Amino acid sequence: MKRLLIIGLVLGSVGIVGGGLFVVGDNPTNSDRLESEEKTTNRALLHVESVNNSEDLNGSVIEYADLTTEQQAVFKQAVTDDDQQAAIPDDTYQSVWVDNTAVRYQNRTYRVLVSEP
Amino acid sequence: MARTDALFLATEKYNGLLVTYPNNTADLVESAWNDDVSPDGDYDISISTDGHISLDDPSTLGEAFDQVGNNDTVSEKLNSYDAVLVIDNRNVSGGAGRAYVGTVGEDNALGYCQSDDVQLAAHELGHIYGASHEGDETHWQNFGAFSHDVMGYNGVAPSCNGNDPDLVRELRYMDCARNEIQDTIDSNL
Repeated sequence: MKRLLIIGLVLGSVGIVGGGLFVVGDNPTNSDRLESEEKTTNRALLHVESVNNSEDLNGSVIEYADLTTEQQAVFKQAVTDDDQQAAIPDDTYQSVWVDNTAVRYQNRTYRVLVSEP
Repeated sequence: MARTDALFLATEKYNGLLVTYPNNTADLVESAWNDDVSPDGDYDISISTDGHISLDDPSTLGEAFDQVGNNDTVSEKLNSYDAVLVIDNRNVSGGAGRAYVGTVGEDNALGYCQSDDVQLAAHELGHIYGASHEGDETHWQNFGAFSHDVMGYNGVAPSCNGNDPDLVRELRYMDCARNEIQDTIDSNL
């Protein structure tokens, strides 16, 4: 009887650990998506788009050097992001990207947009 | 006197429903806007409902928003309307709506709502016309504390009443939003 109890405990432990591994090993694609959502949900986003002819833009262009350090960090993150967007922290003043149409950075012009949830 | 024309554009998910177009939502938002933003008739809005678009089964808000931004019909409608808000009827994860801020009159004057919730539509439309969340830095600097209107956003930025979680968002464009919307219309249209 004691042997049966031990076997039962071992099998039960294996089942619990296996279940845990199953949960931990969730579909990585799904995890990536959730992580991406976590970064963007309820956040203002900066969207950037490289433009070939800045004369087509209606509005003012601001130099990268004129952005604050925090704004520069968000902008650079958006430029290097695959989706060309970056979350804007609450303490970063975002109106600069609403009031200006584009940012001039490293001899290129990037159209900028802010979206809000 | 500035008058602006906006479009609420339904998706294919409205097909087969009793309500084919978000007419009621458009009427309610238009009424609230004209009462609050344009009490003297200087900033009247006319919200139309016309046509459908089809989205490619987006599962997240980001995907839906991207698809709306790349949709040919939306681009075409923006030639006739100052702003286009797409009204959907599906569950997407990652939020309920999103819009480009202060873009009215431009080729990106668009937004997306996952449902025809009237306050959600009013909120996203406000963004297109330049309104930011209550409690954002601009509001605190320029306007101080005001009522918790349709641009309030509990839990993310403090509302004009100090992020009181018990406050209920109302279908009103109060002073915070009204000034920004009027300024944006003056600037863009």
